[in-house]
Amino acid sequence: MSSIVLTADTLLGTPTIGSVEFDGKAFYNTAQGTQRGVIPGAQFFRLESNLAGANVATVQSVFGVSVTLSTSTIYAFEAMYYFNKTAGTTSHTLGIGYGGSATINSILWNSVGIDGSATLPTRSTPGLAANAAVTNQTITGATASAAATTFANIKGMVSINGGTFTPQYTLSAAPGGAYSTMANSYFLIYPIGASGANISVGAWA
Amino acid sequence: MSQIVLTSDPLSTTTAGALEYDGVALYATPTAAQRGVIMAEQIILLQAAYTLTSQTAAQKLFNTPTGGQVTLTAGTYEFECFYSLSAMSATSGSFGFALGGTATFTQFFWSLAQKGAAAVATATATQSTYNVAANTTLATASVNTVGYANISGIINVSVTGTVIPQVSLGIAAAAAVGIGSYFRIRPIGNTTVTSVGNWS
Repeated sequence: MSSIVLTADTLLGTPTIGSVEFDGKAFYNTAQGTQRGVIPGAQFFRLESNLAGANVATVQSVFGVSVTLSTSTIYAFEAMYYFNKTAGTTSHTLGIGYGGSATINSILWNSVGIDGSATLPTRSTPGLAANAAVTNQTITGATASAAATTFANIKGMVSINGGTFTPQYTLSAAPGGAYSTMANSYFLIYPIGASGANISVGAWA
Repeated sequence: MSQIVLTSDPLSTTTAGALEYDGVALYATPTAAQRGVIMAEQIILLQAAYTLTSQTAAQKLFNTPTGGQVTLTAGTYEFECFYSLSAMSATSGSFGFALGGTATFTQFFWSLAQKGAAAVATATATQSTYNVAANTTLATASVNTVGYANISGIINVSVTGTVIPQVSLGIAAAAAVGIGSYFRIRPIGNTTVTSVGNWS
């Protein structure tokens, strides 16, 4: 296997141009001046084909998987969810949140999204939701349409203690037909430093 | 040129502190098992406004370098694009976004766009779309001559070739793409990649 393995140690007191460093939490490089930057090594999950969910009003996994993360670490994450269903006329809303075995020190995330009855809404006024907790946050209006679509573009930051982290969604009522998470929905997450203090990477002063 | 060159070969068991290369992407593993893809970005951006050709058909968004295109090998890529437009026609129309080029690919992108104000700096409601093909109306047609769009998504390239970020105009005009407009794209993995890292 062709690879370079760096031993984790304390970052250089003064960043050195051209250096690549590793402190056990994240990788860093310094291209100019003292502008050390974190190298975003993203753990990535992308759906190759549609994933059928369940026709329930309880929490369920967006992708059917969880990612196992480290203790005392801050992660940044981004995601794109595309949900679609074609059956069931019981009025409901759709919300998103996070689960898993990890202990969450803190989290802040937002979602900009659209929802409608068409397969892919066009030129809809987006809705914005934000949350400082992992708990479910409703991101749609109520719909009783058999054909329903929700799309969410998500960014966030989480301080975590080791364990699994699971992107989830919850329906306010069982619609009568399950949603699927559609192909090419994805989630990426990467470490940016140790928890418990401000993260300051680079020439901040 | 100071550099480190890794020979590509298959990924194997993860090692904390490792930097790896499999011929598709570079990877970093900060903690045991948590291999992550290094998001090495290819970027094109405008340091000066670029005046478009007066036409409605899709055309390149960028001219630095001249072709405004990036050559991509087969694989899966994540991308983001932001652009502003001015000097569009005062006749009611919209504008759009497309990906052109010689590569064979599928695309999935989300757009947040605005053409509802007389100035781009004016706070006003945006509109969203989700697309798997070119969209010529990212925002409702209006007589305003300015607008902008922020787009992000996935491209799955099956046959190597060029990819050209493009804009279309609802009404032909010599509109200008604004300074600071950019397109960035980064590899995730091969054409069938579904996960990188400690997912289960």
